[in-house]
Amino acid sequence: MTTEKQTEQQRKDDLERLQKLLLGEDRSRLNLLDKRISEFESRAADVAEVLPHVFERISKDPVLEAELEKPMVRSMRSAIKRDAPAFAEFMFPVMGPAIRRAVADALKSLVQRINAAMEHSFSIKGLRWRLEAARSGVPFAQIVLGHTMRFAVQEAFLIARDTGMVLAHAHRDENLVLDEDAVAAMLTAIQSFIQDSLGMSPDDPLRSAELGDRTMWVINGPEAILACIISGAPPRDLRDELMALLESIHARYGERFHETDDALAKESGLRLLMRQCLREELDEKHSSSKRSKAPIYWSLALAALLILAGWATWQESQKRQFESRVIDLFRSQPGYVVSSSRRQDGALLIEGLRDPSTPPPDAILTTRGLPQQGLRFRFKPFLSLEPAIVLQGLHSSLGLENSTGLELKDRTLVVNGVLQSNQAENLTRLAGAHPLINAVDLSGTKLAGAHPLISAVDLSGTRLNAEEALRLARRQLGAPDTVELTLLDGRIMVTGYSDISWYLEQSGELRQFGEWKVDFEPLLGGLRKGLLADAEKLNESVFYFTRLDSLTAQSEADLQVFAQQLASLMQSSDRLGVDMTITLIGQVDGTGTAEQNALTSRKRAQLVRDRLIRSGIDSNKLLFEYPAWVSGSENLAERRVIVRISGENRS
Amino acid sequence: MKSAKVCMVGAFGVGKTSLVRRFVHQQFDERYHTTLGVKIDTRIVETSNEPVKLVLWDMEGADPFETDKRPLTRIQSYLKGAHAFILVTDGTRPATVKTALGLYHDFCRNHQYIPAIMLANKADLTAEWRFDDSVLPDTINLYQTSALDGQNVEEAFMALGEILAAL
Repeated sequence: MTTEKQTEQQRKDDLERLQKLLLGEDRSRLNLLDKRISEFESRAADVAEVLPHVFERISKDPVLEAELEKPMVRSMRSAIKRDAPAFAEFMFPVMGPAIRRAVADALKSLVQRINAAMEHSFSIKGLRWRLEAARSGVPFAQIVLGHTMRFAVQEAFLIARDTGMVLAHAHRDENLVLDEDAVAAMLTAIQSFIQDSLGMSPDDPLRSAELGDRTMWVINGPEAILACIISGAPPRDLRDELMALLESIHARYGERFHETDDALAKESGLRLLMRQCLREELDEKHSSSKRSKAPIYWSLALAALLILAGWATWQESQKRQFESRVIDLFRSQPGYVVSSSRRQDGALLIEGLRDPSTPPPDAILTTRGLPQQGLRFRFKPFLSLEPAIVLQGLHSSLGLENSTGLELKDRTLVVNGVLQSNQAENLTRLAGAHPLINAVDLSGTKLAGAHPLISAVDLSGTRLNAEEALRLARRQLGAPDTVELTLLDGRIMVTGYSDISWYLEQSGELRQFGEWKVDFEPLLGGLRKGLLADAEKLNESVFYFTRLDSLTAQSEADLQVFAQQLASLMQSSDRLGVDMTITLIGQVDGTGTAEQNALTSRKRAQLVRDRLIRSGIDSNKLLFEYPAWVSGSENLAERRVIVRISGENRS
Repeated sequence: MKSAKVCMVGAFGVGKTSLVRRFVHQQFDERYHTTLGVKIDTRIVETSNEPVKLVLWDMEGADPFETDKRPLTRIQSYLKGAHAFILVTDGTRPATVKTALGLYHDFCRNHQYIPAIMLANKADLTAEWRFDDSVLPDTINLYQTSALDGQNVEEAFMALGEILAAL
């Protein structure tokens, strides 16, 4: 047992000697390393020493950065879940200003967009946006918001925060009026002034300022600030983008911000970054060329409007001329009577009367080469007595050949050309039957299909029978009921009573129906008899006078009526061939002297004579008679003029 | 081209603004003085080495020894990052030297040492001249200037440009 222990110890010693021989000084170093690794404090010190370098390296490597971010986010989440109140307390001082800033930015943006919407409400652009809204169904407000989210960063200054010196400057197409260093320095001074005046710390710097339609944004970095002059309405995201650019500038060139020469400003990398600050979203509103075209658009629109109005006026004028032409055409068209014309439902409606034998309206229009579009007709049928229409109607209704001519001369229908036998017969019957035709002249016709050797047929010998002649005579003469037509001795005897005018009108010429001549003598005899009877009624009319030569009131009135009746009688007697004689007998009573009474009787007869002449009676027809005066007593009934009438037929 | 922020400081009424008016074509309205307490102009000076752009911050009058500290506080924020000082004094008022130097020393103590020159203004009023230059440190060159007739103004600014160009 003891031997075994000695052997084991001997082996350990040998091994130790061997290690000492092989490793030497390295063995002590290994021991030191083992101790450093196994002790916690030495290990923590080593990690703390390299940790900043590790983070620096991680920040330069996006892959490592993302890997580190994951556990950190997880840790933060679990910490917030575990102790949310503490985290809320920690965030509280930050949340208020952050929310206020976000709300302020949102309101400002909204106000800018509303202003833009109002500005464009009545512009061409506004109208275009309204059309776009109507077409897409998107509310107009959203369309405006979409179009007005435009901006352009016009100038960007990179300014050293402590000195106020310009480190770099980028601008679009407009140059500052003042020196850029002076402007940047003044901006820094203003920022300091505001901070001092309001008692604010340098960590709460000026963020933005409004300059008319421009906005100045100040992006604050630890060593430099980025001041941007922006036109339009910049979106909130722009601030984040500019901040990212400023951070990049700091990362790359922050160590050189203290340089006083312009070497830094000439750095191409910095210049590129500054150019990137000049962000923009192109907006027509800022395009001077497009703005200058607005008056042209208005002018074009106005010109188009004027042309349109002129064209519409010309069209209306043409339309009215056409309608007037059509109305005049139908007014002058035989067989048409236009009673009214008016516009109805966009078309011209012409109303009136139309003879059915005339061509229809559309045929008339076609013949004249006029369009039928926009025209409507409402004609009621009627029979026209215009000779042309009557002849046309007869031509058509009788089925006459086109070469057969009809002509109306003094109520005589003159026919020329070839006739069928039935046509000739029908034409003959028209005489007296048609209101415009008293007689028919067929002397210029020949029967169709006649023998070649017979060139003409004389129809003048055509005979009407007695009844036909009598019926035709009554219709054609228009004899009143008091007149009777009878046949006697080959004549149509007219008897009975009629007024003198009818007799004179009908008897003025020789009337014959067929071979029957009309004899008015019986009627004339009756009329004369009636005339004499009327004369007898007026005969011995008496008109009384006062003491001297004035008519009594009653006689004055009676004489007026009498004079008219006598004048009419005299006129009729003259027309009927009866010679009438009127004798005025002036009388006096028995008072006074013979000379006085002779004078008075003449005066009285003269007075009546004057009244009769004034009524139109021929003075040559008047005779005077003065009976011998006989002295006696006063007698009013003898102070008078008696009118005696007599008549006899002329030989 | 180098650019430098040059702050002109001094007591009230020493003629800072009149000197600047002599030296530069002013860009901003002088009313900025009364509102902001500072007005900024620039001028490029040709030095023997290279042209230097002077960004002149013309401060309102301030005195570190006054009880009303508000003007002093205000200009102190403007002085940050200055590359050089122009200490403006009134040759007829010895106290203005103390004021200008007080402002300069305060700045150097709180920030860093920067070069400076002193302009003893109103040199045209020699009869009333009571300037004691014994208090000036050797590092600060003195120029007797007159904003009225422009005496030494151009030279003083040119000298400062040389100093800045050599930095």
